[in-house]
Amino acid sequence: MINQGARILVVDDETQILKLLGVTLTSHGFKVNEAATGQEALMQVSSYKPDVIILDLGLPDMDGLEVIQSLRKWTKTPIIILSAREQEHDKIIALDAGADDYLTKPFGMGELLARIRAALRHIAGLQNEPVLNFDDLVIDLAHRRVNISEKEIKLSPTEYELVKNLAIGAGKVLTHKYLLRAVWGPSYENDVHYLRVYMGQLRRKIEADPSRPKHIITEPGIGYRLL
Amino acid sequence: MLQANLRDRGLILMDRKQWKNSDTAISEEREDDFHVGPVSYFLALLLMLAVTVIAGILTPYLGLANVVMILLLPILFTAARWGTGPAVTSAAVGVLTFDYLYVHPAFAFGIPDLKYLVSLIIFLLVAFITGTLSTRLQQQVISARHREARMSALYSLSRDIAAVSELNKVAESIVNKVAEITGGKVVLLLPDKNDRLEIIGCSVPDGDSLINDNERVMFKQVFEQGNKAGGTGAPGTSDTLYLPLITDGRPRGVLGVHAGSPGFYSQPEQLMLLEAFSSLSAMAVTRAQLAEQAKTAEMLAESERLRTALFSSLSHDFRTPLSSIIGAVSELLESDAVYTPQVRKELLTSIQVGALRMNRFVSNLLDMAKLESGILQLNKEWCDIQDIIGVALGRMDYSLANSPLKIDIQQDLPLIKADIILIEQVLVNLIDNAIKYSTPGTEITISARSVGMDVYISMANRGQHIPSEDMEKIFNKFYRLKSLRRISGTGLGLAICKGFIEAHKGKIWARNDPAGGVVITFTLPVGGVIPYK
Repeated sequence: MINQGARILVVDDETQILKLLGVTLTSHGFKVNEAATGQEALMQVSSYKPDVIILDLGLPDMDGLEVIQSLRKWTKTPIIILSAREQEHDKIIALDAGADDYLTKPFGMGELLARIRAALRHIAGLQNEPVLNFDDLVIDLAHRRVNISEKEIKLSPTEYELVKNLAIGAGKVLTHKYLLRAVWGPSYENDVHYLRVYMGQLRRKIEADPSRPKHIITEPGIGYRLL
Repeated sequence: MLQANLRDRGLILMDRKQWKNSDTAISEEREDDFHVGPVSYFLALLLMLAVTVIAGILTPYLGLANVVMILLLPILFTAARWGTGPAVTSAAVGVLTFDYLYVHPAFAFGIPDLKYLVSLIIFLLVAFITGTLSTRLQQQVISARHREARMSALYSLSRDIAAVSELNKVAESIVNKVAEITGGKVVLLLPDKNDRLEIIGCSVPDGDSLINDNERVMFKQVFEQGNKAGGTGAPGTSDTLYLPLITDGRPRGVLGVHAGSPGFYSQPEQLMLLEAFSSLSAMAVTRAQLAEQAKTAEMLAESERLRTALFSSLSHDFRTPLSSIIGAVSELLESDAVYTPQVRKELLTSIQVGALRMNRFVSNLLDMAKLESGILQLNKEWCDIQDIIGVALGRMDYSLANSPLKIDIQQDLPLIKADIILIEQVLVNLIDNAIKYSTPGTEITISARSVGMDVYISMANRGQHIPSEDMEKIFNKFYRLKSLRRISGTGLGLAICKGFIEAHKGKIWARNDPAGGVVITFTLPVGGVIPYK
């Protein structure tokens, strides 16, 4: 199991949250260290060398964004940010600055574990795998082929690029800006309408029920994720 | 030159014809109707001479005494028609001519003519008295007509402002009416919150530039002392009449009148009319102000009522889930050994349900607070309706476990420009509402289609109907239908939907489905043209 022994650093100024996460994550097989301020977090990352960092955006001494920017100068360790509802703007900035995923408080442990697993899968080098599996959805990067329940689906070049980027993200959220840059180019990074139209087309081709998608999950105001 | 000056300052002037034709023209009538000019004298003389000649011809048949009586007729007629002056002239001319022409010796004035002096004196007296009476009568008629015109002007103004209770409209009516009557420009000044006078109504478009600093001082003085000023109408001066508007002995404002012609102020009847107007205006202004105060008080009372409803709602809707959470938790902590894993799981589930319920209430309250505070900012971007429906269904997945779902989205539904988070919340609230009020296990239908420049989205559930008088009330804050089942919730869900939809300039409404159940529909404008590159 990927989980076993993976080291997680939890950064939050609320003692209750630290205790809760510490206890639950340990029970699921992870090793957990805690930090209550931005400065502590920075020190812990270099000394403890965690595999995943869970970072609350509302820290007392430093802006969560500053912590991310500092860390990204020298490390690629996945960062999952925790923030309150209705701070979409802050979340987008954090994600664009280098955070990998986010969770909105209050969240369930199931969600947290899924995010951690996705982050660990990502750094385990799974993007170098030629074939990516998501239950009934199989994406063969080597042959540029996409299958649903073993039947091949015809995708236009743009649709394929889109699903490829989502698949390589492997369960991580990808912001609108990131997807637009990756598939259409930097000059399109604000043209959300293209993304909407193509995502709709993709959903109708891939999902059993496009109105209740199981694979292409929309994170409103932020981006998309492939599960 | 005065005319040109007044015109330059943009006054509204009416010419004589307009005056005569308007039902409030009263200032120039007097001279028109009782015209005593040289023409009258001429006509009077002509008449007298004509009758004198006729009288002379008839003398042999009727006798001198009778014929002299005939001369009275033109005198009386002249007195009635043209007044004292022409009548007296007519009398003198009549007697002298008659005497000269027809009394023996003819074509000369003789001694026996002295007895005609008596006739002359009597004729003159008759002419004079009749003329004076006639003139007075004419003046009374004119005066009565003026009074009638004044009354009708006052009636017209009071009719205009009686129905209006909005202050700005009342002010507009007043200044326009007074401007009509005086043929000049009028401003109405009322005190603002700091008791400083500001222009509320003006009969010409560019109000502020009309009043210079000196005049502002005058207005202030008149307002403070409550006495009228100005309007002396010295020829060639641009003079303003300042009339304080007084009710209950307190000045409420000032009416500034700059008459169209300087001669206006010298007519006491006009001034009386203006004063009557100012009393009427004062009452109307006071009434409008009181109406506005009443409205404000009503709004304050309403927000008081809401606050009370909020507190009682909060108290109940938080305490209920909290009590189930605290109850279950304390049991698990203290008497854990007593419970089987099954029961333990049930208790834990009830804790989860309670906590989720409280989370929803907090969200609802925050949404409501955002709407009420006016700081709601729409973060609009191009959205796919199918996408948003998918997200909302995902969020409500657990609650929808027992409800079959039918989703009907038009092919090629256009993207709409909207705040995705808010619309998602609207859908979540509508789904929650549909589940709450539907017969358990029945189908919930979501449909979306485009009609012109709008997109129509509907949520239909099977269950009880909404009574027709409540159709609109269900979108009010804290409103809850009387239902046989105890329905949880703050009663804010639909009010939040309405607030968010209307912020997008859309509409939301409910109707009963004849087959049983309710359909709630909302519209959203497409919001623009997609900028494809």
